[in-house]
Amino acid sequence: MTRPLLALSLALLIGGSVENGHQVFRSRTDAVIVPVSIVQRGRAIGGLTAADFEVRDNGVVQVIADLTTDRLPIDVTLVIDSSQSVSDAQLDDLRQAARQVGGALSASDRCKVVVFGRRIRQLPTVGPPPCAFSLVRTADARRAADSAVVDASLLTLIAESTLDRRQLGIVLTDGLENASFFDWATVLDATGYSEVVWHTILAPGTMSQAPRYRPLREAVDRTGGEVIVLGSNDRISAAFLAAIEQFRASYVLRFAPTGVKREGWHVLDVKATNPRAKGARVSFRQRYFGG
Amino acid sequence: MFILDLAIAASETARTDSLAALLDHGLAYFASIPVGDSAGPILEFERLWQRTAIAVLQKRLAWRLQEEYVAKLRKRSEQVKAIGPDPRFILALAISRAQRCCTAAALARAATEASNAIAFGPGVGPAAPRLSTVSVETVLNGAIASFKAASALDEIRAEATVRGALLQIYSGRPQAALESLDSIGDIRTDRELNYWRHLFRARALAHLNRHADAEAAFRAALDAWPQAQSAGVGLALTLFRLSRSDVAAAVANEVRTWPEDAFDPWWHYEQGDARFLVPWQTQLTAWIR
Repeated sequence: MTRPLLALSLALLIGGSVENGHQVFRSRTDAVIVPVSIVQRGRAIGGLTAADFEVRDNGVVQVIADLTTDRLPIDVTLVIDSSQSVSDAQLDDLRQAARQVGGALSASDRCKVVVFGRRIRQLPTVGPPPCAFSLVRTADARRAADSAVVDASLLTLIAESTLDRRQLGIVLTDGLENASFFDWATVLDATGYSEVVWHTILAPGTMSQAPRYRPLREAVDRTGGEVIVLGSNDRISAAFLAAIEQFRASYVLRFAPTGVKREGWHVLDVKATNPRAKGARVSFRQRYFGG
Repeated sequence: MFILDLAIAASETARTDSLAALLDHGLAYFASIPVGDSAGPILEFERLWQRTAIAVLQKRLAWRLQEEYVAKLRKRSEQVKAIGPDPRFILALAISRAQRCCTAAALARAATEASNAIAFGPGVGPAAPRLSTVSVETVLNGAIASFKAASALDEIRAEATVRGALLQIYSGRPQAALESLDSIGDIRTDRELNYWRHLFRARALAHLNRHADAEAAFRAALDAWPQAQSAGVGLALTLFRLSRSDVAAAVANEVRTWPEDAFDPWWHYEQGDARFLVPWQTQLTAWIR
């Protein structure tokens, strides 16, 4: 069966159609969405097609029904740890970062900013859309020392599953946890339900030293995201922009699972078979829950 | 009363050993008062004073100092029979054991360190863990046993059961936790305790993959304490697991837009009786007047 014919068959099978050479899923039911980024020496590799990938679901090779790159608008959630461990200089850098992130987004993209100590709060935007906001440190010393990074990360992963937008969460934290009700095991579990790509930027500090934050790294890895550890001279704004750039340059693969039971947990594996991607780091959503 | 007022005022920032030394002065003062036949009101005052003193130490998670202080109180109650044993001090000992091993932060740290030790081998991970996985389990089981013993006393049965149930969840026994939580009666007069009961029920149910029941329990927790963040996060997460991502995302957004001063009783759960500091201080002051 030729590839276009197969794509058409799959489209009919799951209620989609083919427009402009791309399969369009009308419903997310049965469609598995796998964000994939391919980075070589710090640069994203673009220009690959579905034929350049191999996807396995529980070890069974799948037919990629659709591959998209940057044609979908993105929803960016910036999640900022506002506990005392973020310095005043970093706060200034953050404000600049938010402005730059706003500049890097297009009109169809959306952005929200969430800050957390122990309370997790979405900031009202105070300037022109999509990303302006006002960030101030809370005056209450005790509350400012508390940090609910686990619960804030969980809320970041919870986003509406939609086929016409892509979701990116960027969490800036020092990894210190002392106020959440849930734990890292819960976050690991939640990654299996989420289509959000989650990057974490670790601010310089005691918790930034690998391998202390292994549960956090493992959870981030499962979404296809990356943990970026800042050095004391690194700029937060640069890290934010790099994460967005990497996300924009990443791919979204979709397939309708075949040859596997739908129920239960599915482990995914993605390989880039194009010689251009040889030696590159391939990050992708690592598992999903089929119901 | 001045000593206690000072300790409460300094309870956020002072060194814990300084707080304990201050409270020791109060204990010495009570010991210097002769206890006669008509000492009932004084003993009643002392009992509440001592409860408040322990609450100050609990607020700072100073479990070792709490245990030392309770030991001194036990000695005093043996010397002055009229004081008698206070069930709240028995609960305080169980709480100090829980604080020793099993605050959420301590467990997260222990889990991380254990995970690192497995993944990276000795010498590669962080410096020696404070608690090994084995010792966490031992102390955790000890704390569960302490709460179980405390739950035999009527005055503290409900709170000891609720607190013990969370540790059962931490120790991987959600079914036992659920049965414990369902064994206690109506506790709606203690709003925070009632909220915790529903919150922990929900978590136990989620561990048992009873997500529809967990949703109902998280909603009950929010009924008990509207806009409590932990219950809100739990509800959003449960809906997400139930494949209702649109509703889950709406709840997550709602949680993030609750007022900044919306309080979640979870935030002082681990601080034991610190939640009573204000009413107890108020009552003590009223008695003096």
